Amino acid sequence: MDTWMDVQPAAITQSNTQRATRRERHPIAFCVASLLAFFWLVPLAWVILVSFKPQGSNVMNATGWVTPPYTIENYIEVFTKAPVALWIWNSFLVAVITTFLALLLSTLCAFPFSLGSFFGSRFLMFLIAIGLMVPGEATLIPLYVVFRNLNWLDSYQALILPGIAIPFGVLLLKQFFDGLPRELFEAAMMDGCGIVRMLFQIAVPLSRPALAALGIFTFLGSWNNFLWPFISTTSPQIMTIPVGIPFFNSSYHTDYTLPMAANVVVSVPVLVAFLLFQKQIIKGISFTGLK
Amino acid sequence: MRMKRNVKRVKASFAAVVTLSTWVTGVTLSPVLSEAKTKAAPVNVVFWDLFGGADGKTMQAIVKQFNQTHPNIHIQEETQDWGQYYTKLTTAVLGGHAPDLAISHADHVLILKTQGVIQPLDAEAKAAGIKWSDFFGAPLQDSTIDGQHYAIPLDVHTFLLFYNKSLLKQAGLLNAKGEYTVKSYAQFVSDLTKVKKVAKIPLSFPENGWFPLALWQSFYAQMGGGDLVNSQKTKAVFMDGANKQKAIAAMQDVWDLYNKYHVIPPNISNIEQVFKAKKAAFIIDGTWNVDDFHNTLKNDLGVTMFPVLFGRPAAWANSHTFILPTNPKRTPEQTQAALTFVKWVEDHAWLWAKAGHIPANQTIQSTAQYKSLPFRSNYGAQGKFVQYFPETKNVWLMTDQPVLDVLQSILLKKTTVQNGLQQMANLLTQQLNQH
Amino acid sequence: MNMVRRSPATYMMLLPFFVLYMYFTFYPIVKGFIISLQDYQILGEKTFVGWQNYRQLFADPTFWASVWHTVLFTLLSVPILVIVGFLLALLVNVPMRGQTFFRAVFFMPMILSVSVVSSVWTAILGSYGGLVDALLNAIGVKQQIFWLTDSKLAWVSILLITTWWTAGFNMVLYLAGLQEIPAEHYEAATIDGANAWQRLRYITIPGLRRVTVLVVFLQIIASFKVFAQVYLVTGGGPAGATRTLIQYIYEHAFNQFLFGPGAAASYVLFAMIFIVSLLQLRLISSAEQGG
Repeated sequence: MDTWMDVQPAAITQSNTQRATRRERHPIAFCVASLLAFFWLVPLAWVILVSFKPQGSNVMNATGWVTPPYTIENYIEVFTKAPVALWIWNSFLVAVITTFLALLLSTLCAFPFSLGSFFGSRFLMFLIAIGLMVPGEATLIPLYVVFRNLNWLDSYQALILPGIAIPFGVLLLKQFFDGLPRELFEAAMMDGCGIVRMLFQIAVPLSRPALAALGIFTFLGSWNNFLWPFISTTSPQIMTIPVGIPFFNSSYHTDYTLPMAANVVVSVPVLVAFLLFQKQIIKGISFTGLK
Repeated sequence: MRMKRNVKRVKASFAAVVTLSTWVTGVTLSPVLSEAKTKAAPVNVVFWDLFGGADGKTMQAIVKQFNQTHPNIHIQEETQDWGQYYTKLTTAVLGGHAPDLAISHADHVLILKTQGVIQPLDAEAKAAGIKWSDFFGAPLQDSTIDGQHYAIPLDVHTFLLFYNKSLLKQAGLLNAKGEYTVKSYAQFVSDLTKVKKVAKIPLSFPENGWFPLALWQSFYAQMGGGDLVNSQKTKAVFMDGANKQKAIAAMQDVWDLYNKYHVIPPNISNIEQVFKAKKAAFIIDGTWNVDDFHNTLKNDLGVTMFPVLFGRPAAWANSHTFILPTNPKRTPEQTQAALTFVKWVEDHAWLWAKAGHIPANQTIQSTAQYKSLPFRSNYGAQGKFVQYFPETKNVWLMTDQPVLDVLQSILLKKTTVQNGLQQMANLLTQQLNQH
Repeated sequence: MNMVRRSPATYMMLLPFFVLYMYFTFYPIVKGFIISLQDYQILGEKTFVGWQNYRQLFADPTFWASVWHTVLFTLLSVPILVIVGFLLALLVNVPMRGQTFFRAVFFMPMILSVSVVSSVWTAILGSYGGLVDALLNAIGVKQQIFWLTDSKLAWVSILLITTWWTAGFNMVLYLAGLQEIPAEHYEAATIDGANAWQRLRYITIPGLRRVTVLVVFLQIIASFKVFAQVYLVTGGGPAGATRTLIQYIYEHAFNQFLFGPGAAASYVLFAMIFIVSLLQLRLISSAEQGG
């Protein structure tokens, strides 16, 4: 299943695979796609233009955007006025640690469930299933109380810990492990291989697509998490991008130029990452759709 | 021997972690940190404020100047989002990360005291040489609870009428001195109507948030309306007895500006931006914009007092005050340093007045530095007729969404003036009795 | 042959996940219920008040309005986002020049932080000088359109923003589904003389049934949890016309620090999502049996 770069055409509009890839150009589809892509990109293009306009200049008329002067002043100001680089770093750090620990803990937890039943396995699975149906948004208040009692509000722990033990991860991986051939594990057991070794030497290497999918999900989820960080962080040094940007922008609401420059700054790293890894990202998402 | 080595190793790795983390956080904090490092460990004071607008730059400059002139103290200013400020402050106190010094609105002091977020500061203020008699009465009254002082007033900020001189000149509304004056509601409406010819937006003013509430409250007070809530803070009384008719009349006059004379166009979400972009002839907005508007509009900017359109002079106002959040980790040295900063700012309050605010310290008004600031002579007298929102134990009207929503629905014609006001009063009473 | 039954290793593997899970997910669920039955002063007394918070909640018209807004958003956004995702997937599945580029463009907004998306669109749709306003002005439309501050248009804007931001996600899931439909089915249909519409109707749509169920339910859950983009763009206005349930919870719990009523409202959200999740499990299993 290679959905992204290598086109395996099976669309409704063609009858013959070979003919389609070689000759058909579908000018109408191309025009529609171009038009839509234009609308999809206009907001971003405008943001970039405005971010280079001097502060206080007239950005409220259409002619103002496309005529000089332009300046990089806003970007310098964004970096000097707010710890944006730190916010990018925090977002990255929190997302990476959350993803790594979520993958590790979900893998460890899912594997025994897949191998068979054990004392308490049904009950524990039931506990996990309950968690699947409770949105994190519904437990904000008790979570706040928990972290207040731990004295961990406004800390990296607060940003990372609640995002690790996600029932979805365990269920996804268990389902994938269930699909692996049993004979592999039985043979390994004959050789006296322990469960942990079996997991890391046999199951994990075979489960890369599932792990990649879960990893991308967790990463995107953490990267975009707004509500909990919004509530639990108070120091600019701990903030992530989703919280830092409104924090910064609310301070400069009388002008468009600075906020737009800040938007560009925090988006560039993730856009670059997306362009580099788009194949893997799309594959990861497609995977969860199909399994 | 072996154990010792292990200890060493642990120490080394601990040191590595510490170095790494300081490097990590130091990357962008370096401007702050390097300033702090140069002198032998000055006392660090974390200071929270909510000056996000144009006045934020002024406070930054003040902090900078203070830090430069006080090598043994370092004020670390952290500006929080206005809308989330008290949420963040309470969270910080609860989470043990409270700042050492913070700003609060005068009418929010009682709420913070009730929540246990702040502590009285009489002894500290006395030690620092703060003289309570220097301050305007209104903010001082809000800062004093059961005879104890919980806050030190910094300023009085109020609504002003700003105008664009070149637009008004085109409409023929400036007098011989090139200034605008207004004496009555009828004149104000007629002038705003005249200015429609030259400006898309006669008066830039929102219909959401607390601005319309402040406008209504000002009109209501000008008409001679009494307090909005009773003295026990348990009931909204603006729809009771003689107040009722004034509350309705004031709201009707506000409503008419939007919906009868159409001089406040609907749905302006960015009122300052349109005024700065010269699309609006007038704007009623806070003192905190004086500096910013002046920088953008230069000589086109006119500033005058909030218009007194009905019998009694009155204008909405509030005050920023200094507070000491409950913070067990604050050392006596930090407390002392914080108060040194407060005292210094109070004594140099003309610096803060630059942003447009009226210093709460009345003695500043007579200084040459204050007198030399532009526009102040136009509105300095307004300090005498300021009208504050009621101070309560648990409701802060400026962000009281349910009440503000009802007010907005009056202006959007979703409910009538009278029914809406009654609903606002009922809601407020209900909120005051929650807990 | 069961190697996990009594192995201590099994429980060691489960332990890290369950420690975090019980502490940061499961315990808050229980704790949240207890708080919802209390007059909970975070720095003071916690007194048991029974169902009073719920009674107070159900008597509050603002609460019902916010529940209705959440349901309304779900009813509107689910069909739009699913159909747009589906149509985009069909479009970029057509072999054409720049296919990879188009896919990337439509998916890209998804990786932008919700704060950036909100900040950008607030500037774009702002009246008296936003991008759209200025463009309309430039082509001679003098009338102001209040995209964000008219109570009906505000919803239109939020839907537009959400579509721009997240439709690419559904597109990718559908795209993966399209690759799973065997090309032979189309070939056979063409030989039988089926036209493009018939191929879409009788092959593509039935072939995507399983993906559709997944997309619809992921979308329902996501829509029920709508908060950040609405809160950041309209603040719940005008006059509370776009206040969602999560905003109601947020305002009660973290602006007014009324934890009891906030926790009660959280439980209502929990109940709503719980019911949807149960339905989802039912439908997914029947879809699997059926297809």
